[in-house]
Amino acid sequence: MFLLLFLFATVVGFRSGRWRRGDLNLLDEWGLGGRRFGTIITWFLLGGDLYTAYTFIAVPALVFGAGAMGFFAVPYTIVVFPIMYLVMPRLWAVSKKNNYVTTADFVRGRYQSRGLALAVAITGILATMPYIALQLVGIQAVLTVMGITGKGILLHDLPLIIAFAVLAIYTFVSGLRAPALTAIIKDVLVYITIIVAIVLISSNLGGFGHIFQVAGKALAAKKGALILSPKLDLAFATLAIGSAFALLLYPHVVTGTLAAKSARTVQRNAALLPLYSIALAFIALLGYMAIAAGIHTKVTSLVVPLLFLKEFPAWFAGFAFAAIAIGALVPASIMSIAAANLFTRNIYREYFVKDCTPKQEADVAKIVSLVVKAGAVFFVVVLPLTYAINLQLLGGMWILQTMPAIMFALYTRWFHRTALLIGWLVGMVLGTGMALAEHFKSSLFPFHLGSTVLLAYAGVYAVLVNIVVAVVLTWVFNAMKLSKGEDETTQKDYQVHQEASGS
Amino acid sequence: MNPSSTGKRGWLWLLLLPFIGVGWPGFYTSVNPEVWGFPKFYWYPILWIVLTGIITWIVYGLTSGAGGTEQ
Repeated sequence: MFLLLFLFATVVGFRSGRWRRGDLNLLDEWGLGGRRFGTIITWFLLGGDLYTAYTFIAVPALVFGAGAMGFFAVPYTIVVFPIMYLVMPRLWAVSKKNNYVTTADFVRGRYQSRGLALAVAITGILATMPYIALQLVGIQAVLTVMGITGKGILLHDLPLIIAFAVLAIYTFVSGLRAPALTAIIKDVLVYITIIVAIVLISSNLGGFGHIFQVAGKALAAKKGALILSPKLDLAFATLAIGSAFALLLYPHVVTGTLAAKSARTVQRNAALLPLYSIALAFIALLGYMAIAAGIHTKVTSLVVPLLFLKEFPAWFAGFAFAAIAIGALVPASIMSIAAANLFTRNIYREYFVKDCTPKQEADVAKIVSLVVKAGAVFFVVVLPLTYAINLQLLGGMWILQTMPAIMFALYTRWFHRTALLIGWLVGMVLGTGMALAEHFKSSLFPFHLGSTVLLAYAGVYAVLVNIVVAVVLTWVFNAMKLSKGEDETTQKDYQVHQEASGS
Repeated sequence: MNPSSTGKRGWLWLLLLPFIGVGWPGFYTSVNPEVWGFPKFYWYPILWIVLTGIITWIVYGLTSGAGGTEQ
């Protein structure tokens, strides 16, 4: 069952290059699907992008271990949509007008600053790499539980390597169209799995009331709690809101957004995507179902696969596992495309081959997408898993530091480019420092203010300092009359309603 | 941009509602009232997912070219 579905997804991935055919020798076609995706395809694409296999594995695992705190994922995936509705259509509009493929392109054009653009590009690539690696964890967890892993170091990871090689090749061949069509299969599988899980598992375990009761008792015995302690209010709130802003800055989300055919398509999606959040809320509750079902494991990524194996008939467990594995391929593919776009546009073309042809540009991006994925496989196979998890935690804080340079810039040109660059640097160092000080145990940092301790998301602390630095230095640099650089965009470029005039 | 679109932009303030609804967990960290066995801490944010979708859709409708009412 698992293999059958996996094969089907692969075939669709390969053939997708022919769908709404474009010239795949152009980066705009390969890396953004020609900016022609309508509301429904964008919905599937962004859905596959925002709610990854890692989410399906990690969120229930967190709820399984810590209880209420893990449910921050729900308010997070609520507040992300109003922000998306306001910010992303403006980014789409200005990018369409000026042919920007990445956020670094936009920053470069807005501030005439190569330094700031490079900072944004490097942050994006660094934050994306561990994220791709973690998608592999989803596949690995499923393969382990199914027992399709050989013995010995190389054989152990062979199925994983094969799965990723397949992914790498079809992304290379078909570009962004591949994950767009595979995402549809993935979602059908995921929704069916969730609905069956809710109905079947909850009735097996005596209903949700009983599940919450058992989970509450079990959590009280360890350090968790069913209802959030007031001491964690700030941590919960900052994690939710900080993660929401960070998510929209990730290159793979930007790529998915820019591939839409209009700014209105992006707005419609902000209204329709919350459907996935409902699925996510129930996925989170799988953590409690696992407690109630008596699952015991030290490897938290196995919580969900073990639950499915125990509660589902074998053939349907295979179906559910395919949902997770294909759910890993979709975002991994988009992420590698996004990282490749950044490298090609903002590093290769900017610093190495300035006069490269559009065909060269697309070719380099295709090769980089392979390198990025090979790097991710290497990471997971060779290094201990904690490295990828720690780097992913850092990645979220890092990407959040590009918020002033990108999101503020969509509304105002007030900030000075050098002030933004220094603010970014301070935020990066500070975020990394706080994570190191906490030994990567959590993304929270206790800030001592007199006798009170404010426990909050370190990324939010870092970005607040980042913003203050940027504001103060903007005053200073303006007073010094330092050049602000030319702005190649005009106010009209940001208007969402310009498409009626036909562009 | 037509003259009425500045008035329509006022509707965007509706998008603050989800932040008020779920931004601060202190508003819903309790067990009671339970709904279908779900403690409030769980059903309340799930309800807000639906509300957020509806609110965003309403804002989309109100800010589009036709059919929007001026504030």
